[in-house]
Amino acid sequence: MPSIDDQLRTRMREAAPRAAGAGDLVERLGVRKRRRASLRRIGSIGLVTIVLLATAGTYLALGRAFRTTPIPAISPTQPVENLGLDFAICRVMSMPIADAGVPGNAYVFTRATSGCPQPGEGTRFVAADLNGDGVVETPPVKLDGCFPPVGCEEFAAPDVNGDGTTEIAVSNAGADGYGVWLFAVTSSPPAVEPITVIDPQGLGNVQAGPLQFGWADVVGHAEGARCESSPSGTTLTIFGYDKFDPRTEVRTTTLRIDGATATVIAASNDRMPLAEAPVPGNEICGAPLQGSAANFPDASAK
Amino acid sequence: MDEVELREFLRERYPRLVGAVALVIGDAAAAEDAVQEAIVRAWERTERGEQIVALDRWVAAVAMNLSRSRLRRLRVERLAHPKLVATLPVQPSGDRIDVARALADLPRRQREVAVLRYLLDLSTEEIAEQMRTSEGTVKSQLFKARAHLADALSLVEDTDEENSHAEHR
Repeated sequence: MPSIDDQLRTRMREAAPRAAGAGDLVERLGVRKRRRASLRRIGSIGLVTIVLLATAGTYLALGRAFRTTPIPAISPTQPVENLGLDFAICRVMSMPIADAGVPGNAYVFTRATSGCPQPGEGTRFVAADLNGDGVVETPPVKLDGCFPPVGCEEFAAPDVNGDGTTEIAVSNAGADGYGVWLFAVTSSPPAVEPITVIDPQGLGNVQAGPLQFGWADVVGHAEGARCESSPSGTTLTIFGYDKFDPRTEVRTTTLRIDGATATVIAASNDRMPLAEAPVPGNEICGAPLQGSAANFPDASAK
Repeated sequence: MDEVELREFLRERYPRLVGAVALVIGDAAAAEDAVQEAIVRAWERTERGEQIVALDRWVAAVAMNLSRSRLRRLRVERLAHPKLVATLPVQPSGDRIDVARALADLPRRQREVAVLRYLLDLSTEEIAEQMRTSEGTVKSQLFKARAHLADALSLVEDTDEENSHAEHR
């Protein structure tokens, strides 16, 4: 008799609704693609028109309100969206960071093409301005897997190892919450690097490779991370658990982060009452969440 | 993605992707619409020079995200569950209804994990990556979904313990 897994495979294949798929599907997709391009063009034109009308209206209204005020000379300014990069950008998110105590800003942005791609579309990057002069010093790092319709956003700027330099957390909206990646900021040379997990003792509930963890608090499960300070330094603990049992098993992995390396130093699977399990909030290691996660869990990715 | 690749993808992967999304969201027409939208977005991206690794997984993830957004907007996810049966193809067999009903009784996340595993044959690691969660969470959800489906569909456990539990280790 086949195993339950094989039986489920068979039953599900038999039960899956069949796509209506016609022979002209490629043509229909082509039509759909052209329609999307047209809508984007119309949207861009509409947006430009609205901005121009609003600008003209504001200008006239202010002119009336302050009739005696001399009209200031208009001087061309560098669009803030450039940030010193050699390509046009849009959908810019920024948040304050600190590099060894020096204030700067982290940016997540989209490369502008013929217009500004929709949220979740186009290529997103993360980069940092390390001295607050409005120009990014670090080479932009491309963010992969930014799924529509929300896409990648800045998530927070926590200092997860207490060394005075903030890390940059970037999120991607997932099923019930967010997937979060951490990037280390270095100034010599200026760089933003993905933090990579190593697990020399094979302890953890996390995979080796780029550090990623979930941030979710829904009916069925919760995931998050928190900092813990001790005399030997600050560590980051990632946790996750299901909520179906009153006593749940909380999976944790504790990481010591040094530069762009996160070393697993402890891991546990502890049963405890749900009420005592850690809860992800709208801050990580004291840093407030940004973007659509700012009011987490009330305004998670929708 | 040129037209030859697109046609091959549509022939080889499209029907199963539509079926998978339909089983998760309970609406075959909306599933087909979401998968087509995801394919168009992938097509646009590749034309801009972006490379999409594992196109079928990317399309599945985007289609399910789009479906979720649609359901959230309409606030009908709970109401949509009965549609899981109602929107199946005309004159579905009893077996299809059983599976659809058993899936509909699962929490959405478990339903998604089960469909990704058993219909799209994704590994635990691939499901975790797609759902932006940990492998531990996926294993836990899959274990619960499997137990529920086996019970609801009266599936008999293989006497060979090694075989029956192998996939969950």
